[in-house]
Amino acid sequence: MALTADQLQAIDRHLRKDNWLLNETLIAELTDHYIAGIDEQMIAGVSFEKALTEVHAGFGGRKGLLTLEEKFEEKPAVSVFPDFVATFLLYAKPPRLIFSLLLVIASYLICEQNLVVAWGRPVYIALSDLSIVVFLCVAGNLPLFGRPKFVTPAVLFAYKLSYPLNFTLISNGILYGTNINTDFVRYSLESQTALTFGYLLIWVSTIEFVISSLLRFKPVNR
Amino acid sequence: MTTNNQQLLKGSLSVIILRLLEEREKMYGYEITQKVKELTAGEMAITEGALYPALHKLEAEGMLTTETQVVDGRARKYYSLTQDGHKQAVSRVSELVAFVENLNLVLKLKPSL
Repeated sequence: MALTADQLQAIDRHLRKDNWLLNETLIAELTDHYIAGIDEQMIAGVSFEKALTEVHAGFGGRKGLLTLEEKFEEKPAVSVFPDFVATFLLYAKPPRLIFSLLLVIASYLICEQNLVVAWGRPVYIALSDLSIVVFLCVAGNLPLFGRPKFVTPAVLFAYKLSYPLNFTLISNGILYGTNINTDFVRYSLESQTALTFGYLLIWVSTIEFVISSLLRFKPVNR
Repeated sequence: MTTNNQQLLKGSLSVIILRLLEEREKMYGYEITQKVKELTAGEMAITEGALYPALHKLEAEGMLTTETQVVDGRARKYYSLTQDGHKQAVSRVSELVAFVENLNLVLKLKPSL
């Protein structure tokens, strides 16, 4: 039994106006569920209004629907780290592999010219401190996530940046130690090149990850 | 279905979803609720309020993937298992079966399922 245009409109109004749902993806999925459920009940002789009420009750009423939407919108924050790792791994495969090879050459030239020792310390301090500051700022705001009305692009930027930045902070410590000027020069040129390449690669993939995350993100207007 | 049954069902909902999707290539939300009702002759009913959060969670965990098709002029979201989902389905189903068998032994309802 096909529902009439008025009945379809009533379902749409029910989800958007009566139950305050806003997420279009979820509304589309629930619309299909409502139509299928109501249709089956109407075939069994139940009125449209009663069928609508029953399907609504199955979702736990308005409260249930709003909880469902809230949980549904928590999803973007869940997949931040796997996304970052996936971006990082792209540099081991074509076409980005060519860029990685160029980065190896650049690392060699940087180390050969002793630029890491000359510039490494201030760059290391700046990047490490920045990552700590961003992490502390964002950590205080973590409870806000899952409530998309608070997720402005700026907050999301800081949130997503905190993961890779702290990852690079760890890599700073592992790769260079805390005293670049004294320790780094003791390594062979090959080791210096390898360490610098790893460091630069993390930063390049970090920048790509942050930019692509921002481009993918569409804030929800409430 | 009693409230106690609902609680028991809620705990095993993700396993039920994975098992059903193992049997069928893809299913949509309403279809899953109806299939459970049909398999249990109406004894077991999944509420929509429990089903969709479970589906969305499994999708976020990478066990399910989705595709949208237009059916009767409206969008229908189909869920299917990912590779990881297939592996998880096998292990979670056997875990639950073992649990139920042990529970049966403890309760002395019957020797085995």
